[in-house]
Amino acid sequence: MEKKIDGQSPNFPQTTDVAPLFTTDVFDNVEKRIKKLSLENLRGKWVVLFFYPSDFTFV
Amino acid sequence: MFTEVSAGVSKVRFPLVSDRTHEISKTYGVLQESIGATYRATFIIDPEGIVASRYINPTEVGRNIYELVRMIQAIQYSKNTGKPVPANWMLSPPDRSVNPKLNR
Repeated sequence: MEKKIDGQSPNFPQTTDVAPLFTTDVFDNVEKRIKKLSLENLRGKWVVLFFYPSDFTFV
Repeated sequence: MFTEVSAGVSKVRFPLVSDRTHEISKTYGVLQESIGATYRATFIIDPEGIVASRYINPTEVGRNIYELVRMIQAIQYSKNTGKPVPANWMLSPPDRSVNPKLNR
C-alpha cells in the first residue's frame, strides 16, 4: 500500500542514495546575476544543499 | 532583493535558488505542504553525486553549522583512511577557519 504523508514522495532520497538531479535558475551573489545551475555539473565537488523555509529567518 | 537588504546575506558567495515551483523541495521530500515552506533541511552530497548525509530540522530550530562542517570532515577522513569515525570525533588540530573565535 502506498503511504503518503503531507504530500511527500515515499521515494525521497535517503543517505547513500543518488541525489536527484535538477537544473535551476540561481542568483549568483558574487557576479550579481541570474545563472543556470545543474547539480550534475557539480560532480567532483562536495555539495551542501541547504533548504530554509523563509527569507529573513535564521538558518 | 534579499541579498541587498540583509547585511548577512549580502556576503553570501554560494548560489541562491528560489524553489518557487517546489520541485526541488518536493523531490527531496522536505516540503511542508501545509505551510508551503520547507523544513530546515541539509543534504551533504559527495563528489560522486551520492547523498552522504542528511539533516531535517524542524522549522523552529536552527542548524548546528559546526556539526555540518564536522560531518563533512568526518566523511572525508573516513574515505581517506578507511577508518570508522567514533562519536564526538573532531578533526585534530581543529580547523580554525570554521570558527574564527578560536583564534583569539
